[in-house]
Amino acid sequence: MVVQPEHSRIGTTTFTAVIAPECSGIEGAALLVVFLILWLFLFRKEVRFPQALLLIPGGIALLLFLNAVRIAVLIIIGNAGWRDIATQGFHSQGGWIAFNTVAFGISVGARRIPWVAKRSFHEQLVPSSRTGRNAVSIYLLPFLALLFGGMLAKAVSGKFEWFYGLRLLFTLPVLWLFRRDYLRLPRKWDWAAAAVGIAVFVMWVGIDRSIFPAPAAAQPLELTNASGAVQAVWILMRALTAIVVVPFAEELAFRGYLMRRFAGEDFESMPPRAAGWFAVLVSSAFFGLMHGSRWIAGIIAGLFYAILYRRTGNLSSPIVSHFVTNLLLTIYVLVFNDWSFW
Amino acid sequence: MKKVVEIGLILAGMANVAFAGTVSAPEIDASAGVAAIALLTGGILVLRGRRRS
Repeated sequence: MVVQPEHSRIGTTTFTAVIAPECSGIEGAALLVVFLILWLFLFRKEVRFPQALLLIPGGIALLLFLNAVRIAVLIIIGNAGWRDIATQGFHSQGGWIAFNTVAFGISVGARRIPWVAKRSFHEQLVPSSRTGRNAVSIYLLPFLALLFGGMLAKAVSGKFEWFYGLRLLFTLPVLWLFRRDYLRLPRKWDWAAAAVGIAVFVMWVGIDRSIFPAPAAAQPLELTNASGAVQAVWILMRALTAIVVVPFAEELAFRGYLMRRFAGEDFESMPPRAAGWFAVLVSSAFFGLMHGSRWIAGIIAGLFYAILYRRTGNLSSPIVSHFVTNLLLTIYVLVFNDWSFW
Repeated sequence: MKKVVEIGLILAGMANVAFAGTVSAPEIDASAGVAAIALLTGGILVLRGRRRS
């Protein structure tokens, strides 16, 4: 065991971590305070004051404890020989996992504690949570499962994301769970949707290759050095996620839910044509932001899919479009060996 | 109110993009922030949708 408080260093003889100020839990605690102030303001009618204010110091204490656990786990992973995972994947994701656990835990827990939640809201929660259909979950849960799988996959990866397929493994069961609801959605094959998918693919590659030139990337060395079977399984999981799961999960969330939600509270009964330009633009902007450095291409793609959905009034249209785009991107990556798009 | 949560989510996402890369090895990694905040906000929306249904 190595403990050097004067250098903020802790660890074992084979792996030590230096606790820099930004790793001390301060950033997470500050973010949690912002989140809780916002949460208490938005849901002020549902909680009792002043006791609800205790959620702030309670949350900070819990987050600081989880940060200590995070550092301990990081050292255990590094000491076990997985230095890459400890310093890269787990290091960057661990803080968010802890933050989300505390923030979501408070959101769930506070409304179930009678001392904090107002009686009317506490009672209302119990019967309706056992019965009825939650339309929001039908549209959002596949996307949340995709995000959660991605977060977990990154947390257990080093330079190369070996467990990319966790996205698929988490999202498929959710899609299966709501399969009856999805089969009830109107669907129709539409050649215009396929054409929009091709146009988005051309735009996506065009922006990367001409307007904001990004260098092409060869297959990651870690994958090249793996056995043929491992390569095949990884590529299959990666392709299935991009082609099958992502179009469903993202279109349900961004077009099916978010775009229509901006048009009205009862989003499910809201026809897509009722969504104004604000709804189209904001849902596309958020869709673009989810695509990291390719956010411009993402926003334009979102606009294409949103306008298509508005025109056809059928969620199967943007799903088909998105499917075609991702299928072509997958073929492009594998045929031209340009892995920058993956 | 949900709309406010959604716009807050978008602003938080934009802020994360704006501040991405300011710290090389942060506890709260800005580049992973968009997905994390989307996950949290989406979770809260599902939770609240559950009560209303």
